[in-house]
Amino acid sequence: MRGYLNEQILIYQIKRGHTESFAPLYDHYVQKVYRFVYLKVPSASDAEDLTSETFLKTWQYIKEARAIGNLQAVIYKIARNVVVDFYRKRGKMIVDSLDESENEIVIADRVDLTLEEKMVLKSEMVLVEKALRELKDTYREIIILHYLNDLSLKEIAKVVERSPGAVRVMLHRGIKALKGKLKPHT
Amino acid sequence: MSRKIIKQLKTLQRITPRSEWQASCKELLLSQVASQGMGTSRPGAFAGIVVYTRTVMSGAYQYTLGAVVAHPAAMALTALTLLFGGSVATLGARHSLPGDTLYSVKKTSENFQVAIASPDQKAELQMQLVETRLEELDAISKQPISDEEKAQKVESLVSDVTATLNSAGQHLDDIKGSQDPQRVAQVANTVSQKAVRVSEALSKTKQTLSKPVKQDTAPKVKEALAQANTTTTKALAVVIEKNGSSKAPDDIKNNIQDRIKQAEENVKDVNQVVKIAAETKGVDTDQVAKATKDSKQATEKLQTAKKSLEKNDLSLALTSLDESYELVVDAQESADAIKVTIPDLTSSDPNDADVKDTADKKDETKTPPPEKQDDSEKSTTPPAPPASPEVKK
Repeated sequence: MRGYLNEQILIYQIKRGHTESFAPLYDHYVQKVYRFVYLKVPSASDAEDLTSETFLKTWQYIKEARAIGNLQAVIYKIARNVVVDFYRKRGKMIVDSLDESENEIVIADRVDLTLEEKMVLKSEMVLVEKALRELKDTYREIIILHYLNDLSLKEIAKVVERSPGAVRVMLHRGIKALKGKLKPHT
Repeated sequence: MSRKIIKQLKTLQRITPRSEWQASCKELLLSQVASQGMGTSRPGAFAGIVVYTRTVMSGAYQYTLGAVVAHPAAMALTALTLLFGGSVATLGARHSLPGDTLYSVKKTSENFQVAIASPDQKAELQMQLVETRLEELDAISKQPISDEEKAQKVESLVSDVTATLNSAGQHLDDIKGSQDPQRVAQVANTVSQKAVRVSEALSKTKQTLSKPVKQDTAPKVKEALAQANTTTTKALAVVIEKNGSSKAPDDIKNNIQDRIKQAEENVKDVNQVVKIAAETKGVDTDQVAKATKDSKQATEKLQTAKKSLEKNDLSLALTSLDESYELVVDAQESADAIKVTIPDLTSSDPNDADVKDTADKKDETKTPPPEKQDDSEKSTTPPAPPASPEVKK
């Protein structure tokens, strides 16, 4: 994706009926949305289901909305709502750790790492993922958006509908809380 | 410290979806939006087959050789696709089960179908999906896998059943005020019929599970059965509201009648356990008192439901039946707790069959079968008690 203008052109084309223009948008956002959703739900299969739902709803939104100023914020907002719906339907919050075998697949794809490096990386990932999953959702999603999906504070502010200053404070508190969770392991 | 944490956090950027899912999802999504974009929605089985075929084919061809070797399921799928073409592979996706590579593709396709369905189709579609989950549940229950794995899969499927039933009920609420009351009544009727079958199927599958799996999954199954009851009641209420009690179709009346009968059977089972408990020493008397109280109250509610049904007051019949549900469930729970303390009722059955099974066996072994009674007699006459508490010996 090459910036705002290109995104707006794709949105325009989708609205005009060129559905294939949705493909570059999907390619650009799918991994980020999946990661965002994955760290909020109990299993990888739930993350897959909810990611696909997010994209379908995004497409419907594009078709129906008059104008879209910030597609990134729209997609993350839809993903957040899809996750809220998921828990509402399930009736309660489920915070389980991910099945480790599924995590292995992610790392196994990395051909540039030695077996030892993969093991170290895996244990580090498991540790930080567990700590992140134990955080309050408001802290967790801001940390994911900023450090994992590389959104600026201003961009996050649009997603969570808070001021950039409030986001900065929450990010600071989130990192502090994460430190507390990780401390016993360091 | 912060820098170290940030470095640790960055390792999570390696979290990515499975490449085959990513490709399948994209293909599926584009197929669906294309059909919508052209204004030619293709809901239903045919669309599903088209989508699956395209998805599976494209998904398979996008594997690199290395990835295919690394994933046996992918290798098998590719081989099938190359040998027999899309139709066989499609069949594979359609019949995939939780834990299979293609299962998420199947779920994704289902999500798409629901999302693009018209409001009045959504509830019916959700009920079809519930049926699919029940078929999967049946298949999983027969799989030769460890109890732990089976319990996990069963629990996940049953949770899905609960969530989908709940969703179907919500969709029904969404269309209640629609302009076409006849269509709403038709949808509600379908939902109620299917929700009743869900209860039957869940109870049946529960019986086939081993004792540990049954114990592990009991809370989720209980939740699903309660949700099936809620959805049935909600759907029946909509049908009655749209038609009026006097014009409600016969099958609605039959539906309520069947559910009353089933509830009475359950109460009868509880009463049998209570009767045996009264003649046995060392039984928790508090539980016996609770079971007796709940079963009595449930019987009263069921009587009201029956009388209302006779007077053709379907709304009141439904309300009374609904009020009896929790009482019957509570009475059954107390009866189960009592049963555990009575060796005669627990030692003979390795699968920990329910009270009903045990009680039925008692009747078969020690007492002659009762003469056939008509329905009114059945509801008021308590079942013949077993000859003695030592019936199993």
